[in-house]
Amino acid sequence: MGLWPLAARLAALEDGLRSRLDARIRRAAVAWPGSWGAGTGTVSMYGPEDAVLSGISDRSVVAVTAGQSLRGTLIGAVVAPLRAALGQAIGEDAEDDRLTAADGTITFRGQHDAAWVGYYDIRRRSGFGGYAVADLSELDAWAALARSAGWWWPGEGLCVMAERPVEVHTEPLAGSHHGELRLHHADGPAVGFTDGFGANVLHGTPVPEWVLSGPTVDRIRAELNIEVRRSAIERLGWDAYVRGAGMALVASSPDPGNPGAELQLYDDLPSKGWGAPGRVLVVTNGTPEPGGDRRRYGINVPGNLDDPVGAAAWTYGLTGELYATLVRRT
Amino acid sequence: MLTTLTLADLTARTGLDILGHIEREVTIPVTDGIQAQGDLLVIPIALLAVEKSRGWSWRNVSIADPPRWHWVPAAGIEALRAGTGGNPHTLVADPGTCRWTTGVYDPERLALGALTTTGIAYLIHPEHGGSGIAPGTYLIRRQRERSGSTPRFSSFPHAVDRVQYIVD
Repeated sequence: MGLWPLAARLAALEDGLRSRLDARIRRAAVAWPGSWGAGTGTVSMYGPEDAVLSGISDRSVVAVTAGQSLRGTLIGAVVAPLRAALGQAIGEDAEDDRLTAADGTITFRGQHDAAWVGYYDIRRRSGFGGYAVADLSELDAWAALARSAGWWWPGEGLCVMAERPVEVHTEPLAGSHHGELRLHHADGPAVGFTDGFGANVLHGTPVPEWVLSGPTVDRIRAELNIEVRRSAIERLGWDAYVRGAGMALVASSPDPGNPGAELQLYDDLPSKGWGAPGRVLVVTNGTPEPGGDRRRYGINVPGNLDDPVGAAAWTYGLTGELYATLVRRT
Repeated sequence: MLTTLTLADLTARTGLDILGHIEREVTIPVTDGIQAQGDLLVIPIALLAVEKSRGWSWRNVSIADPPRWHWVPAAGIEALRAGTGGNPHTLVADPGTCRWTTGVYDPERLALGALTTTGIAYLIHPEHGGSGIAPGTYLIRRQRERSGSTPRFSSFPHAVDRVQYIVD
């Protein structure tokens, strides 16, 4: 390892530290069989207080709140689009920057390393500890970096450091009881640096600039990425898109609980990627906009649903029969 | 609170905002059936506790045992933290009448929580106005849409379409 580039040696050091800390965590879990450890899926369905009060072990809750949720926000929501944007900007495919091969760039994430540093640190502060003393001081070094640095690239006798972003726009992640966030900004980059570099993200979906400034039916149809397409359609407006794209109407029916409104089920255009095309249910809001009209929007539904009411029911996990009894939609 | 209220009454009591163009002087309709507020659905829990034979691992909607209910205070609690703009759906009720829990098992994984109320409870949202919930126990689910290209059809109940959750 002494002959490796500095960055690779540091990465190996980080991996070693995390492996040792993980091993201590696993050992501690075995040593405390009394409390009910629950899978992260189960814990995620509860808010943190409810989970603890329901008898789920506090370690499992911390694993979700300080582990999974923090990681989801920092790595999934913030690092991923930035890495993609950076990769595009320097013209290479930045799929995996933690390469151990001689070529390939290893990036250290500074503040975004809080995703793992924070988790181990919170566990320690909560008294779950059990880490080795030498590992504690090594963790402190990474913590100091997470507190003070943006992304950095170490080399022999030289370290390139980037400033942190000056703006970050987020929104709560729907359905998260543990504070998870995602990026969103409709008026410009969702994360931006002083030199103008940044990433455009709408509701957690990284999008090209044209989605923000000029979505058109043609650009949307040419777009391969289904998530980008959806974001662009939302920007353009569903009615404009359905009209412009010439989607075929499968069926329509009155909307339960929403007098005067129709549910319309369309065949989606065949996607350029693989997979069967789905359908789109175009619905009308129950409440009017300030201008008086009611907003219409499309919901992607599976292609095997033939009945508009059944499709609406699917979006809530109900049968069509049950959904048809809807008393009132606002 | 078994007397019905207008939206004006409710906003005055709770201090919560409703967008100006929404009619305030009409009594808020109260129902014990299924109702929708934007992307939220309120479902009487009894309608969901029906046996479905979807295979050995199917479990019905159930509240955690032991249940962990929290009283809904007069100022209300947020049932759903919404996306952009941060407009929440707020659950309000007279103190001591309504309880809420996030400890719910939902095989569809759409549940935000459950409420049980002995008086009329209200869901308020700035863009959707108010919805009255009659005494009873209800599940609140959020909405999903299909995401990604290939749905998987299987009798195994946990193999579902890749889904995305919808927010206002």
